[in-house]
Amino acid sequence: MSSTAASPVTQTTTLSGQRRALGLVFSCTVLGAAAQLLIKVGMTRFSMDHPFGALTNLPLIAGYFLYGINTLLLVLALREAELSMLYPIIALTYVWVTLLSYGLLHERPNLYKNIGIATIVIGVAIIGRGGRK
Amino acid sequence: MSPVLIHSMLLVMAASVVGSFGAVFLKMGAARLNKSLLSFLNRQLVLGVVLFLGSSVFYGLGIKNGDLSVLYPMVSLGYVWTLIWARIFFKERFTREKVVGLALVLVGVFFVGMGSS
Repeated sequence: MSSTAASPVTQTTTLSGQRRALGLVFSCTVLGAAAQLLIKVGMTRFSMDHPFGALTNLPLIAGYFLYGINTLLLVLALREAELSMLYPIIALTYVWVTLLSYGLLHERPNLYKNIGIATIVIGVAIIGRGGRK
Repeated sequence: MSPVLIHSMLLVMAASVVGSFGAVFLKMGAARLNKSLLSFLNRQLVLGVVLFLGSSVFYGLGIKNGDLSVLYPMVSLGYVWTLIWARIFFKERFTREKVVGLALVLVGVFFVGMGSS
């Protein structure tokens, strides 16, 4: 058994660490979007009259499971890069949710959403570029 | 503004603040990880996860019956709080890329909210 009384690890700010962190947060946003859609689908079958129905509600279970993985990846990313750089990147989740809603849930594309996701992508690109310096 | 909207806005505002502290504790907890899997159970990480869950409860209640074009941008206020806490607690700098990038993200989320209402 190794000890859990760890001394805080000093922040590594190597370039490869930063890149790894960006990659991890990027995966986070994809998983987060999948989780949101699964939960949305699962919730349409969920009713408070039968709360234990959640136990056999696969989309709901899968959605929350992905949220767990998602948080784990975020934590691993936070080991290697700044919080203020990584956290706003999570907004990419809006982009994937919007695109997946168009593709899978057949929501009608709309101009405001398209302008919004394009602007988010540009913002995230600028933040990410700052992190590579 | 209707009382329902104000109620929703307060809930979403609470979600953004609670969530931003969740992120701060996850960052603190991340620094305490070592090779042992048990190190994932450190107090900061557990608190961070609890705050994240709490935040999603407030968020879920908040967006249930409110106008998303108002509420979505408020959720992303959480990014602004986080930037401020990161500076205070971890001495991270405000760089031009972070500020400009975040401003664009906020504008983008505002538009996604407009399209969702």
